[in-house]
Amino acid sequence: MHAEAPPHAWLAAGRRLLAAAAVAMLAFAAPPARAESPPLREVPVQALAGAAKSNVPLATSSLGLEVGVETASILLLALQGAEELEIEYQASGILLLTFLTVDASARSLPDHRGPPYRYVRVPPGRGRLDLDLLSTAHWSRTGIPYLLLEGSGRFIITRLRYRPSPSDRASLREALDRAVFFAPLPIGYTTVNILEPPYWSYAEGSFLYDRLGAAFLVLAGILALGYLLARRRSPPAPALALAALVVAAPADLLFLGKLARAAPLSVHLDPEARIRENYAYAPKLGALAALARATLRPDDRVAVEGHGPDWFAPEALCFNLAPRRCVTIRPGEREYVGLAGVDRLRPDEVDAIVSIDADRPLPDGFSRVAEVSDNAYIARRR
Amino acid sequence: MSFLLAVALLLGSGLSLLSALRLRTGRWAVDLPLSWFAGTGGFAMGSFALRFLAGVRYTAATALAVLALPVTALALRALLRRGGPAPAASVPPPGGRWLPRPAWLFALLAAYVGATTAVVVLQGVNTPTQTDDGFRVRAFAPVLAFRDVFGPEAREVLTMAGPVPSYVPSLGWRLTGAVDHFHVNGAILVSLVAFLALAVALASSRGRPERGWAAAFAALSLPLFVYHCTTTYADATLALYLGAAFFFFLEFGLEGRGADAERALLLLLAAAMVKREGELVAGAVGLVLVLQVAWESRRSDRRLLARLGLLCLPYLLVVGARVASVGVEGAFPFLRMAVHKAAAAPPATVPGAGPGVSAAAALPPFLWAVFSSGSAGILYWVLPVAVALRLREIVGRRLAWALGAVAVLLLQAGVTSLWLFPEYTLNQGTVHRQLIPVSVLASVWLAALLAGEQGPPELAALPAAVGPAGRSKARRAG
Repeated sequence: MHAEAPPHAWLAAGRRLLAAAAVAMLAFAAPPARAESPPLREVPVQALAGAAKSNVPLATSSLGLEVGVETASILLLALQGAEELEIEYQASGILLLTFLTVDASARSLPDHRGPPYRYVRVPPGRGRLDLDLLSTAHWSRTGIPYLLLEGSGRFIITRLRYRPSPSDRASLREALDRAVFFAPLPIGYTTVNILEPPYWSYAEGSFLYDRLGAAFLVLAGILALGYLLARRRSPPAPALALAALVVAAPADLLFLGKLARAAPLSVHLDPEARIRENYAYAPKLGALAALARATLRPDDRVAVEGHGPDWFAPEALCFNLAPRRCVTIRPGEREYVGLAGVDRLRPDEVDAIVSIDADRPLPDGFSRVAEVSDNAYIARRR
Repeated sequence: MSFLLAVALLLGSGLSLLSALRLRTGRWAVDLPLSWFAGTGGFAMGSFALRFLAGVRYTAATALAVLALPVTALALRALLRRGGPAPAASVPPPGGRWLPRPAWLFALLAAYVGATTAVVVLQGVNTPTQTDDGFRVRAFAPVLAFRDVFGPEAREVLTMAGPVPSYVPSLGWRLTGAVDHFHVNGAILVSLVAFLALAVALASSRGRPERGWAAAFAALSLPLFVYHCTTTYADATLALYLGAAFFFFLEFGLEGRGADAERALLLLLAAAMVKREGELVAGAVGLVLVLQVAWESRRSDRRLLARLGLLCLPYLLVVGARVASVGVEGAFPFLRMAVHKAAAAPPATVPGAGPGVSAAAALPPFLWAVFSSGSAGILYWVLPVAVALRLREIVGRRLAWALGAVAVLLLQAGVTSLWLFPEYTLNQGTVHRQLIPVSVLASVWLAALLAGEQGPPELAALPAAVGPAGRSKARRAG
């Protein structure tokens, strides 16, 4: 029979652990502190057009700055060093806003889907968006906000306020560390192999789990020494368990909070609603997939097409249309191929086409039967 | 509704299978989650073998027939026994204790386990499949199983995914004819809940609820594992099946009941049917388990070893079906890769890192993945310290064999990450996901070491046959 720890073993271990923790705390800094932030500054609506560059024509009206979105519209705001944006808007259609920061002098734009991937779905109507730029990729004091609107619809900025970054280096570092430390887990369709590594200090490039690991080693070392001096061989299991718990629990709670903030936690009993609503970073795709599932017959042979070399939308559509036979259109090919090469169809075998942001017109012989927008529709052979 | 129907049928089939094999524990709280893993394994094995060995189409009727096989076996056994002596009733082992001590501490752990499970279930059930591998393989394989039309590409996909992730989500579709893609998510989430329930119920039924709650907490402290319970990838599924098997592996080590070794092996067979890698990792753990049994029975009764051998035999059906489906080379891709790698004289060329990069170059990123990335929380910081400081207890409480299994898996991951595929370590690719099953097993083991010491007072009063001193006598006890 193994040695049994008496019922008070956990309490005794806890007392020793507290003493050890007090010593260990001296070696480690407190979590990122809240830095003093400068107040928000207003950008007059009339000045917005001058402060913005875009790949689409911008229009100003009495309402504000208007951006039309057909596929993807970019807004670069000349607000160097802004750490937060507060946008009041009026919107229509299905829109996704991805935001990051880019170097004003950079010749090419970074991959906006690279980590950390920050996006927000824009609910139609009037509303307000608070964008934390500090936790986005490539933030720097010389960077400017990069807003990417995807989907189909209209977005009018009716009021824009921004918070400049703190002027002193220490406050800026604290603000940056804090923003990254508590930012929601960025989840996208490339979030597979690794999650965004949690930083202790983003500015220093030090990782949270290196700190926690070291804290555990210090705690365990103090405990081991303490028990050794008390003429016992080694700390009992409860003491080690409590030490691990003390170190792991805050990190667990932090992770749970970051995951919960990124997760779709609403309850939709209808699976069609879940497809329509929960492609969080591709709302137009979700709406189209749900519409196609409702429109197409189970025995339809389907071809899908997306924008240029984009693989995500065609794969997502074909998957959601399964078990229908489904392939991706490759112009000029004599046979189209589907997911994993399983389905194969000749162009003349296709009954219906599901198209999203495609560069090509609909092939002859097909006509639209349902649509989410001008460039997201379902067509059937006439 | 079809998903709930499928879950109920799989649980029923699993319970029958456990009864037929006389592996029920006698406690419903343990038997129900255990029957999920056993039932899904049995159903997947039967459906896969029937389709590719016997060429029988996968229909609602054949699915139901496969589910009913254990029930039939149970009925047959009862018929054959009629007139003979009645079999001994399954008596639950004494010593159950359901409230961990100290209650305040474990209430906090239970709150974390409950909150995390709720978030994971909500996110998992809400999130449509969204990744490339999910679209093309993991969540697509059940669709192919449902369609039941197999060209070479479809066979390849099914082989990559494995019978369990392919056939289990498709059962509800097959029975009702309607495809709801979220059954793939649902199957993973039910496995997670079954895993957590098994952790708590099994340890509590053996008088150490602290160990169960600590195992559940430790597993849910692995961020990448938790996240993958919400995706339609199969890494979490593999870890959950392995972890469920490992609970019984540990119990066999701690208490020496032979039935626990059999339960562990049964669940390892199910784990082997998850992904192509399943066979490698479950095989490694199974080998250590068999070695432990062989070692401990070297001077006594070898019937347990024989029973384990018999239990493995049906798995030949899976291997045969796979060979029939994709040929010998396709059926053992890792063997082919290892041979190819060993035969390749020049050093590996690592994409993005230039030619001639040795495995040593992958070591720093491997260590970063293990310690700093946060994928496994602080597990790998605590594990070596706990092993070093509690070495005597590890040997004394017979936790060394289970630790050996964890070490073998870690070695396997190291060899794969540093030697076979250093490119996926250098670019922080698959190395993190490969560590998920290792981390889950290591966390369960660590919980057994650190939270299993405070035994119940009732244990001292148990007959010697149940304690380590009477292990050989208790080997056949339930």
